Amino acid sequence: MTTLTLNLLSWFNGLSETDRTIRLFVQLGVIGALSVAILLPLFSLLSKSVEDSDGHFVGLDNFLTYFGSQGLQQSLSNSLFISLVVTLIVVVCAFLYAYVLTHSRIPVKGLFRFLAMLPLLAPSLLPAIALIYIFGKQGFLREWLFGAEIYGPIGIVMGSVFWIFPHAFMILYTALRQNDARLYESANALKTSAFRTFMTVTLPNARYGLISAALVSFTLMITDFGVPKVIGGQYNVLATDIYKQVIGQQNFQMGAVVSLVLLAPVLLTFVAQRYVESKQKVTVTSSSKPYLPSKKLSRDLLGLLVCLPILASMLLVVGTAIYASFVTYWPYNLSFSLNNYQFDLMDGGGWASFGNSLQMAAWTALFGTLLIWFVAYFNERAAQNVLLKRIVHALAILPMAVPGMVLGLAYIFFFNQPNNPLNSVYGTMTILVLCTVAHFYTVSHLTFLTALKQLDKSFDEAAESMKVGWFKRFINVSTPLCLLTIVDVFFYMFINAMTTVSAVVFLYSPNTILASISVLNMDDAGDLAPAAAMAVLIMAACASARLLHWLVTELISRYLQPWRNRAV
Amino acid sequence: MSFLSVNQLSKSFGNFNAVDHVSFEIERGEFVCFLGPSGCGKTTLLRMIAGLELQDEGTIIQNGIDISRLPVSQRDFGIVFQSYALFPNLNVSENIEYGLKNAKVKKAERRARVTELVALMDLHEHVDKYPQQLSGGQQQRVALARALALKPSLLLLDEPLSALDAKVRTRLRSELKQLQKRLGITTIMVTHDQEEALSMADKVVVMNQGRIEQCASPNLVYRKPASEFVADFVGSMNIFSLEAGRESQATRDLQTHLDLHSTSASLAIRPEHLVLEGDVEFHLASEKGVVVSARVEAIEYFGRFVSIQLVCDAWDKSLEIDLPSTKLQFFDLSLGAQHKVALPKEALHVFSQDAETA
Ligand SMILES: Nc1ncnc2c1ncn2[C@@H]1O[C@H](COP(=O)(O)OP(=O)(O)O)[C@@H](O)[C@H]1O
Ligand SMILES: [Mg+2]
Repeated sequence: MTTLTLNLLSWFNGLSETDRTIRLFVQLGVIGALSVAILLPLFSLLSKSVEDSDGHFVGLDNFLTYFGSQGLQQSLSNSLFISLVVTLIVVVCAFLYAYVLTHSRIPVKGLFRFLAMLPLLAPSLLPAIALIYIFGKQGFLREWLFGAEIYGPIGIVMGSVFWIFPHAFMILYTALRQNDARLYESANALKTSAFRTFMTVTLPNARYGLISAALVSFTLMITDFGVPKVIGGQYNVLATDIYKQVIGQQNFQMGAVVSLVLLAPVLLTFVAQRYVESKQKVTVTSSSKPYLPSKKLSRDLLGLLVCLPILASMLLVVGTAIYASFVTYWPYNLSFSLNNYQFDLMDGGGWASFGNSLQMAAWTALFGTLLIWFVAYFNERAAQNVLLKRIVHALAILPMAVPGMVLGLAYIFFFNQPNNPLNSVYGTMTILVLCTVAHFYTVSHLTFLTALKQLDKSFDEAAESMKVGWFKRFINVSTPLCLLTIVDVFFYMFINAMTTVSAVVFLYSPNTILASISVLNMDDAGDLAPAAAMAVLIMAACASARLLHWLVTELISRYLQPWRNRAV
Repeated sequence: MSFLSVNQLSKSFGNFNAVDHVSFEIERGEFVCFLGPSGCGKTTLLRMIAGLELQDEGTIIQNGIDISRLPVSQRDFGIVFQSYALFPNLNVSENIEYGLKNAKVKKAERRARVTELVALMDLHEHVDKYPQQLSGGQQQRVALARALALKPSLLLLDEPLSALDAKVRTRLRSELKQLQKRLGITTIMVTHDQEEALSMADKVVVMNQGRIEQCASPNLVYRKPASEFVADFVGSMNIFSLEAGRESQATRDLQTHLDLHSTSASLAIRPEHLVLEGDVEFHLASEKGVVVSARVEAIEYFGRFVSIQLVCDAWDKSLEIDLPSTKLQFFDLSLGAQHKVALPKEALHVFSQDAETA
């Protein structure tokens, strides 16, 4: 009996010596790659912050200078204040919107949900530009501000609420949809009023969703650079400070210091977020059944009354940007024209920048998806050394805690060192791709982990016992089974690479300028309409990608994975 | 006049009839079980009585009042759901107090009622715990306390024991039954477990495909099943169609004995009523019934009794016989051994369109 067990054990663990060695080397290779992409650049940033401009160690002098400067401190409090305000507004709006979509029977819910996602397809610069058209000096609704200035905190708040909204909405929608019908029935059977049911059933159920949405919104806001840059006017925040220190004053050390200051609140929210997520899993039970709201006309009308204004203001922003991009000369000559799309006549990057963006996004999506998928699979299903596994996991989670601007700056410091053998990638497409992959690494990684969790581990154990090599399993079993997730991540990467500004703003060269940067530069040069046009173009590209995504998913589930459809 | 009277109640989902013209009456203080296989419409029927589901047709009269169209908030009942559905964010006493707060009961009174219920359900140690920290049985007691808090005149239970493991289940069966008798509260319990229904109920409503097959005391349901379905579903039963062995002597004997003119009937007999040759009762049984020959096919030990599968030559059909373990030694039960088996007439049930029950 015991010998049999022992035999079985050794048979299961019977990896040959070479196989073990190979797996160990792959693990080390993965750690090496992730270190180059994330850890070492961050380390360079850290060391830069304690050096003077000649590279001598000066301890905490830079930090002392920073905290001695009135202006820089002002930015810190501005950043915190505005992020709190935006978080509050976004969470309230997104909660109401998601609540109506999950707890009423308003018509065309699918459309409401789809349109709420629209801002994800545009760079954060787009709402800022649109707001200038709406509330700026020649804006058609400027009276609505009662003389207040759109350039400044008001503009930042409005623009940021627009593009952060879908992020919070998605989280809250998921949380509210998991509401358990049985609890509503209990409350009903105990003759509970609608308000008390909301307070004791709906809200407690959504509380982790609410916290999560608030943390995500806060992080997105405090690290965003696009909106404050375009519409912030004299109102400085940390993200624009980094940009000014680095691009304006070429003060890299101070840029590093501000980056680290920015990193602090982000790290804090990151830790909180991880904590909330770990809590959240416990409360989901298998026996709950989805809540189906009953018919009630008054409630549905009220729901529409809440959702329509939110949706309308989003559509107004998008619509204005599109409209303004096709107008000859706002607001004097509103006839249709394509002049604003003649990018080659403007300063900025011209049409080439759009081509660069497509190229960069495609490479990021392709290379990033393959790399992240491989690493996620290998680490979960093939890696042997537990300690190294943990390290890989930590490295994969880390990018989430690093704002794009900080990552971009860290890349300069790391790759621009003369003694770095990778120095030659500086200023090329490669570094843009690398940085963007690193920037969006974590979400993709976590998506793959979720997919792998749903994929029965016994597949791998069975295959392992049949002596099928892990690489073969990866190619023949896991990849086809997770194909839909892989496609999801591919398009997630693509769209984010198209719209990102913050990470790449320090890393482009005249040959590799991107469309989103071009928007920024044209806006800087006062060419607002062409900037709007380019932003609209980016949005169109992302919308096309979204369409393609849907098409590919459809084709895969219909022809390649017919078993998926059998489930009712 | 009965406490609850349900008349021609129907409910369909799409064109599927979940509950199909159901009528029955319940007396005050009675413990009634809805019994039937999964999907037969028990829960739907219970939910209509609660008002959680609106019937398509029919009326429900409780205590002389037509409640068919009343909203949940105006009906008088307490309910325990299958998985209890306790509020996870409230502790035990808050869960129990929940309905009292809704009813605007004063604080002191609420306290007193909660204390009373906690004592009744023996939940002292758990008042401050949250549902996740309780075992299934404790959760069930909290759910029961919550349902009873407002002193409803009708208690509805949807498979309250099915989420528990077997041992706890049998213990809670008698506890629940005792509690019901002590409080004297009219109770309807849904279950798919016939043993549970027989052991607990004063009255069993056997359901199949949205219809009531029989509504009677457990004793009657067991002894005189009203239909082939009930016979099959409640307890174990040998059921065979005469059609299969229409040419045989045994069939002709049966027809004569039971005064049956066609072979379109089904016959049913419980395993404990079959008598083997050699048994002291065989003589009597064979005189008042039919004797067939059969051979041992399989045998299964259940401790107190033994279940023997016999293949009957006449119908090429297995018969199951229960034999007390104490009698085991008197029979040759080796595989293939031939036996004569008596089917006493008074234990035979006949189910057919054109024949009366024997
Ligand atoms: N809301 C519903 N929509 C559609 N079909 C339902 C619904 N509720 C119950 N049913 C169907 O009605 C039948 C009876 O359900 P139910 O009363 O829950 O059965 P039971 O409790 O006896 O297992 C089942 O076939 C079930 O699928
Ligand atoms: Mg049921």
